[in-house]
This record gives sequence, C-alpha cells and structure tokens, in this order.
Amino acid sequence: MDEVSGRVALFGGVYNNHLALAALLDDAPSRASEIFCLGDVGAFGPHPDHSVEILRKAAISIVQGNYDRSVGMRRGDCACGYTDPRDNHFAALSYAYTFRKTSERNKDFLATLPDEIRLRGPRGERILLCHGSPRRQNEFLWESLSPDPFLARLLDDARCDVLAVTHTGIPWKRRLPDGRLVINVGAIGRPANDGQTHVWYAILDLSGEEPDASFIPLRYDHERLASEMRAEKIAEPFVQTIETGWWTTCLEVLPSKERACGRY
Amino acid sequence: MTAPNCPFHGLDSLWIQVAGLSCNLRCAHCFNASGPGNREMPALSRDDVRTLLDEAEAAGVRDVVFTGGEPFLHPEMAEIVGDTLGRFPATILTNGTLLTDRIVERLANAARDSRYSLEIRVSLDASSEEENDRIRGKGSYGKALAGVARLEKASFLPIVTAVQFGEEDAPAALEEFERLLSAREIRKPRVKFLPAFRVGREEERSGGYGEGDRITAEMLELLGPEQLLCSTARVATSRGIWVCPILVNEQGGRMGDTLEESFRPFPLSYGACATCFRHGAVCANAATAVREE
Ligand code: SF4
Ligand code: SF4
Repeated sequence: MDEVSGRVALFGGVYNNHLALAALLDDAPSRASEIFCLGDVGAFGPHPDHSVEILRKAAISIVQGNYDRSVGMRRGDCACGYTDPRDNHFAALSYAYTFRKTSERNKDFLATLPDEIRLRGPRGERILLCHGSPRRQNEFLWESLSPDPFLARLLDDARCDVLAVTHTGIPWKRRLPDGRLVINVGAIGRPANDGQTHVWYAILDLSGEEPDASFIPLRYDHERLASEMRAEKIAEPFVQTIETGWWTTCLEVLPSKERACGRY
Repeated sequence: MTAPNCPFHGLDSLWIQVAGLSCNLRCAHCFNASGPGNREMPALSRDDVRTLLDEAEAAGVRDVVFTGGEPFLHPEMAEIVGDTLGRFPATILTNGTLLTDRIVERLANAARDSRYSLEIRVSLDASSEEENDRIRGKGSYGKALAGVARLEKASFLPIVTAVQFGEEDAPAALEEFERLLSAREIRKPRVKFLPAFRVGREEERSGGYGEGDRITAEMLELLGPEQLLCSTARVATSRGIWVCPILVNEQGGRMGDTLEESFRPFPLSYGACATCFRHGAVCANAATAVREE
C-alpha cells in the first residue's frame, strides 16, 4: 500500500473533458505532491481518446469508474444507475459516442483499472479512493442522502478512515462525529449544477492534526469545449450544460435538495 | 421447488407503516388493502417512531420511508417528519388528498431546517380525472392535484407516482403526466411508474398469482438480490417488523419484534416476489421507455 503525506489532489468524472483535464494537470502540481483520478474518463464530451491519452502519458493512477468498466468490458451501456427514461436516453447517446470513438487499445487500458486504491496517511490513516461507494461502483453518494450513521457503516465495512468518491458530480465533504472524513470530489467534466462554468476537484490535506479536504474551482476554456462538442454533433443539451453551468440531463437521480438548487 | 433466499445486505431503508393500514381512500388496486376503518394495524406513536429511529441509527440506516395507509391520517405526522429529518433523509408516500396549507407549511419548515432531503411522492393513477377516480375514488384526482400544487408552491419537488397495470405505452403515458403537471405550473415535473402487485384488493380484481409466478434460484442469480427491496430494507409496523411493504398482510412476511431480529435472509416464496423480479420493487421507470427529444 502506498504511503502519502502532505497534500494529495483528487479528481473524478472527466467525461471526455480533455481541456479541463489539461487545466487540472497544470494547476494541481503546484498544490499537491500526488494526483489521483477516481474514474469515469468517458461520457458526453468530445474525443474520448484525448483524455485517456493525457492520463496515460501523465501516468496518473486511476480508479475504475462504471463508465470505464463498461467501455473496457465492451458492454452495451454505461451502468450509470439511472431509473428514468429521459436520463437513460441521454446516457445511451453519450455512451454510444464514447464507445465508438475510444480506440481498442484504450478500451483495453480502461478494463485493467483497479476498483479501488488504498493509501496510508502519515499517521497511519487508511485512505480509500473509489468511484461510487466502497460497495458499488455506481452507487450515488449525495450529501443530502448520506446521514452520518450510514457513512460510518460504509467506512466500517470498507475498513477506512478517509473515503473519497466521485460519480455524482457535486462536491461535498463530511466529518463524522468520530473524526473520520468523507469527501465527494465532484467532477472536472461538467460544472456542479450551480450556474457557474468552472468545475471542481479536491485537495486532501494530510499535513495537519487530522486529514482535511478543500475544493478547488478549476477554470478551463469551456467555450472551446462547447464548440468542439458541436463539431462532433454531440446532443445540444450536453453543450448547454457546459456553457451555462446548469445540468440539463441526468436530473432524476438528484435528491430534492440538490435538484432544487439547479435550474431544471 | 424450494424458494431461493434473499440475503440481507444491511438496512439502507427503514419503511414505517406509520398510520397502520388506515386510509381515507379505498383504491381498487391497493396492495395492502388499506381503507377507511381498516384497524388491522394500529398507528405507531411518535415515541414508537423515535425508538425505531434509534434502532435504525444503530444499524447505519440511509433513509426512512413513511407509508401506509395514508401517513397524513396520523395526527402527529408533521412532528414525526421533523424528528426524522433531524437525523436522516425521508420520503413520504401519500395520496395527496390531505395536504392542507398548514401541513405543507410545517413540512416545508422541517425540510428547510434539515441538511437531508425530504421527498414527497403523491400517487395518481391516470392523467385523466375520470380514469383516476374510477380507480382511486371520486374526487381524489382534484384533491391530489391540489396537494401537488401546494407542495410546488412550498418549493417541494413532488414526485407523482402511478401504478401501471398492463403493457401500456410507457413513454406516451409519461408524456401525458408531464403535460398535465406542466399545465398546472409544476416547474420540474417528476413522474414514476410502479408495477401493480396482485395482492390485497388487487388480488380480488386480477385474480392474484398463479403457481408459476415464483422466483427461482436461477432468476435470482441473474438479477442479483441487491436489486430487491428486501435485501436492504425492512418495514416497521405496530405488529412488528416485516420483510417488505408488499407482504404486510402475509403472516409469513413477519420477521420479528425488533429490527435486529429481522436482519436475516428471507425465502422468496410469494407471487409478489415475481413482480419485484420483473419490474423492480422500488420505483424504477420502465427502462425501455426512451423518449426522443
Ligand atoms: S393505494 Fe394508497 S391511497 Fe389508495 S387505498 Fe391504498 S394506501 Fe390508500
Ligand atoms: S415481494 Fe418483493 S420486496 Fe417483498 S419479499 Fe418478495 S421480492 Fe422481496
């Protein structure tokens, strides 16, 4: 198990946003000694191979997301866990695009990614990085649906003191009454449904008395991303999300508190 | 043929039959045969619920679902929701006909003060008044929609749930509902379809299940038991703890007096289990219902 200390950058949900990914790799090294990706390289953004190649070249350690697994295993759908027909419709569109445009070599690469990464902090803290939840790659951990006792159970079962996940696309953190820490690092592939065009990643700080996390807003050339998406004929609602910062798809999975903050 | 066991994976959702099987409506398809004057399961008191929340907390519960009967027949429902939201996310399944301004305001206050979500599901079975009221009783359509409008005004995002009986055209039905709700100025309409369970009053209507309607071990393996409600939920009633909300009228569905006792595998030997297998017991919309933009 790798030991880490100081500050560690954590990001997830690339969704083919190779411009945000490049911006992250510019920004994070000045803030952190190590960088980890929590998965879902592909989705509705343009040119999936760009993102996979950037990650491979930078030799970033990556946790496998549900999307990566589906693409890597040559499955028929993204296994995002949606139950709504409209969400499934859009999920199917972006999955078909990513699947078609990911090279065989990169599919093989995604198939080999690990389910989880375990690290050890300077005081022996057991740090678990995974995609959805420790028990399911596509489980959504939303802030408003994650009471402390439930999170404590997940951490007990997974035997960890710090848990970092992504999958939902909205960042949050919680310190449990016993001091353990849960972080949802958000996504760098699309904005957090807050009307802002930037995206988020997280810094896990292991240098203090106890582990803590902060969230870093990441700006990138979102207008260029939008025009690349249009050139690739990616469905217009996806492009609007990039341009406006409001989610237009995958809304039914949002709990009422999170959804009430968005426009749609 | 012996029924396969559904393993228990831990308590994600605690369902609470808070008002027992008492209901102000008498819907033709009600799977637990709730209705006016059904006293088979008395209501739980606010203290009973608090004790349950303590037990659920110890089990690491994720959320609490209030069901019935009609939860708002409980005189202390607003207080109970407040107690719950102080600790966990909650969902209320209601027929929407008792949602007065006063109760909605109290729910809105509780939701605002909580860091957790409160979801309210209002059942409506058809987008036309005539068809809905034929199933759910005269006047229920208008009252339920008035309830939905009140929830909307108080900034809730109510979910309208409808039972699907046959192989209706799901995308078309969904569009009908969305049109209806949009016309009533529901800004973010949410609609979910539920399968009909041929138990309770629905059994009288549709004749119940046959011998062939059973889950086999092979089927369960195919589905993965984690898709079934009974692998991660239990229902608390004034008559003890039951395996799932669908089987509360089956003596065999009773798992014990305390939550702790109920945390064990359950043999899936009921016809209703076959409906869960086919449609998902929770509320998944038909996955095939893809709507073109
Ligand atoms: S279906 Fe719901 S509203 Fe209708 S009788 Fe049963 S509990 Fe009451
Ligand atoms: S009816 Fe459904 S939820 Fe209940 S025990 Fe059977 S499979 Fe499980």
